[in-house]
Amino acid sequence: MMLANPGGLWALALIPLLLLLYVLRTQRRRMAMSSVRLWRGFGEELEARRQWRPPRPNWLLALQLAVVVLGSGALARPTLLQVTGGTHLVVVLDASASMGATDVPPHRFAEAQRLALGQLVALGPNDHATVIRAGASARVLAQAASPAQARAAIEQTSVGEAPGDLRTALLLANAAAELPAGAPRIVVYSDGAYAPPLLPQEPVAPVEFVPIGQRDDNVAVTALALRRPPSGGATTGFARVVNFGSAAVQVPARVLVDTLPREVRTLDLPPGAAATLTFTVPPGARTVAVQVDARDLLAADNRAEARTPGSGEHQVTVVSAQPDLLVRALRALPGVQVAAVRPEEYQGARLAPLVVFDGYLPPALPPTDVIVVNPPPGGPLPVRGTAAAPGVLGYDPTSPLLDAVEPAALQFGRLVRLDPPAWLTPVLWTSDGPALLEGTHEGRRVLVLAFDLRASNLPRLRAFPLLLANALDWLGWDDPGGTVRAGQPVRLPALAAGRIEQPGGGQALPPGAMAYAGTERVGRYVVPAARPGDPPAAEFRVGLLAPEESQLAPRAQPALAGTGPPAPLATPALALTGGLLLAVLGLHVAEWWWWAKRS
Amino acid sequence: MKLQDTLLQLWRSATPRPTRSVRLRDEAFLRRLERLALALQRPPTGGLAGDHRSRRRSDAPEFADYRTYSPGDDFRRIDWKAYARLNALYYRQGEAQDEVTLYLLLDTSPSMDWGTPNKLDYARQLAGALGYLSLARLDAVGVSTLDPRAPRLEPLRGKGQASRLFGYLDALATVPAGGAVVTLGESLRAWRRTARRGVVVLLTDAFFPEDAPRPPGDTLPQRCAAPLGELAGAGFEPVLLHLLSPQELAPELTGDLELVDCESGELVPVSLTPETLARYQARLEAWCRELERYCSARRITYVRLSTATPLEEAVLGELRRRGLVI
Repeated sequence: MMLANPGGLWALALIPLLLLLYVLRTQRRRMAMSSVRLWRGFGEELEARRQWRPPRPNWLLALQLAVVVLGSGALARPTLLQVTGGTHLVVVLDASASMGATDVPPHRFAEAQRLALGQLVALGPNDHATVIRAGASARVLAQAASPAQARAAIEQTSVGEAPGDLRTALLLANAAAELPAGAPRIVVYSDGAYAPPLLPQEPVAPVEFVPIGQRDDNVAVTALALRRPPSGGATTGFARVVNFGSAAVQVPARVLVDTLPREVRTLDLPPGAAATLTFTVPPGARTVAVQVDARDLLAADNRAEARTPGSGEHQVTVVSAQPDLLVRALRALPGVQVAAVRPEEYQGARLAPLVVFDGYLPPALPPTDVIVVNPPPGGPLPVRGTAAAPGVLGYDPTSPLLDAVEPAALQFGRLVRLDPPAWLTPVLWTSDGPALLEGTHEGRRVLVLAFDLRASNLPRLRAFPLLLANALDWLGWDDPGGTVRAGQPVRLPALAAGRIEQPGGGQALPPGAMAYAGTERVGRYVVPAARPGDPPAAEFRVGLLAPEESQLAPRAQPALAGTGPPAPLATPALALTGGLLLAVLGLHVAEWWWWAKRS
Repeated sequence: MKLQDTLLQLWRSATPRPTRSVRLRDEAFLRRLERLALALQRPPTGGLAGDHRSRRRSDAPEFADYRTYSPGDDFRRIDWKAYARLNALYYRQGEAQDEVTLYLLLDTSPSMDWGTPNKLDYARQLAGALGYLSLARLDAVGVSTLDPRAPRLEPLRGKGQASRLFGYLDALATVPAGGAVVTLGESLRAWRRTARRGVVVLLTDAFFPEDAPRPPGDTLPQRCAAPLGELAGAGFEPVLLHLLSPQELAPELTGDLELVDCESGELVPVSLTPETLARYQARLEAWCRELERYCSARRITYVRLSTATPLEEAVLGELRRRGLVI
């Protein structure tokens, strides 16, 4: 027996209500009699005066209780399960980057598809199949579907270039195995190139692991980082190349700067050995790539690409009558280009993706990320007045805005007292109101410094550039190392909409998208600017950079679940809802008949 | 009480009762009634000549008794054969035939205007039948109600007066609820002052109002039958026809009810279950049995009738079996 809608059993809560109706008395009917003297003095008379009474055995009550019970059962939509010969095949396809290895032509994933399709051939018309793709995120491609539908789902999917989420895939498989679609059987097609997954505590069905892959020849770039020394100077690049194969290789490694070869080195790598490449990035370089020209089984990890820090891609517009303080502090941050605009020139000015307003606010905020300093009254932020020299009362120590910033050292000469709207959250507050607030409004991120910068000691503190740097990080402008690992989500600039161009084609971005998680392909991702000719709204490069995926040696997996005889085959045989509803109808008729007979 | 009375009036006005005519139209039934006669426990002792054997002796040809001769007696009725044997003069007396006065007393209290068939209708039909058979037997028939303020029908004689009898019965109405409380004893005492001796048939449901708290040991049947006992002591021959409707004998009620006394307006909340109904019926049966026992101890004829009993069966069957008519 299975309940398709267990919530229907909540209707059983009507039983106490029904009993309450019988316990509580309703208005007594008044009946004229020739004389009441023979009715006086019964014990029931006293009881009849009470407002409640214990429920007595009553056919009507019994019928109504039966109606409630059967009606609840009907709402729960019970299905009688019957042992049959049907099978529910749950196929888990590992679509991680390692499954793109070509040791099994054309590649491992294609082999997994072929084997899975072979399993489907054995299924009969009463059997069902579920297909789960364990890519960067696990997805169910077909659930308890017919073999033909499962075949189509397997044929249409493809391998990714990111680490796979096999653990979630196994959880989904376990849940699918509980469906009443036949005797469950979970089959995982994988090369084992993943960290040991955390299996469900109580697997519903035996899990069979079908290993894919034969060889391990692979050299991979497993790390790439570009760093600019804090003291200034040239940017240095670090790369790590690992030979995951069981044979020594000699591979040329090329460093490309803005797609042009900069340096070529030949690496002699014994089995399992790693080599570290260190190189200098010339000034003005925007991107750096490291590529090993190895004839190995997996191409996705042969190249890694990164954007150089401080490559001038972050444009900031400062709107202020006295922008010198902010411009100087922002320019000190790597990769930030600042343009100052006077308030009277704001209308018609070309705005950068981040606009900093100091002592000025237009009637409506622009469609960009915004930092507001010293908001004036009459703008979109409600200002109640100012307060002089308030002390810091408290702050949110978990806020990334205050990372490495000591709030106790701050002194505010003049605080702008705000009535913050609901979308703004105070991060630092004084005795006269919040001084630092953050929030997201209509797709744009907004940071408010509700004090006069020049009347405070902040510009003289080391915390000033730190606060601005934290603000840029909070706005999603951080890209440590300049690379994004495949499968990792990326924060998008404010109001990034339209399309994102990525390896393998473009994809639509919904309005108000704050992040993008479809980084399953290695390569360059670009969010074009809204206006043609403007620099891209966002650009990032995705590399595999996952050693566990680059290690292609077929690995024997421990038993993923206890083996044993298959669970009894169960398929839905009879939906009981109709019968229960008929029974409810019959009971209603009986209740009506009983009531009519009594009255 | 005023609210209860108002409720009762509303209930009455909302449930108009069709009144059945007392006039007996079944000729065959009338003929059968004419063949019946009241059966008396005590022969009459005077009055006009009638159809009933009297305790009074007369010069009628039917021999009844001897008495010693007194001067002045008609010596044609001296039994000479007895004189020859006994050497004494004995006067032969004949059996007198006297009329009997039948008084029909109807209870017209509101409690009688209840039930299906209606108790008052049934009482009027029954009174009409008894009155007709008495008129046909040359008896006098008087009718009145227990309401001392209501007009009476003085004794009628002869079958030709049957229409007057039926007309009076048709015009009877119930006493309005909430009116002056008149107990059975008061009614009978008031009525007795103007009545001759005779047979008194009281048609009632015996639900009489209580004028005062009952003293210890006083039971409901006593309270009802005691006034009848006074009548018997005064030379009347009382008969109690106890009329109950089927709804009183076997009520078919269930659930939580508030019972309203249609005379007093008293409210009694009850929760009716099969057990409660069984207890009620046991109480009713005990009440009737005690009433019957009390009546028989005082030579009062007691007949319990359900208004569901057809009139013919009641008169020709039940009353005949109980010796009220022969």
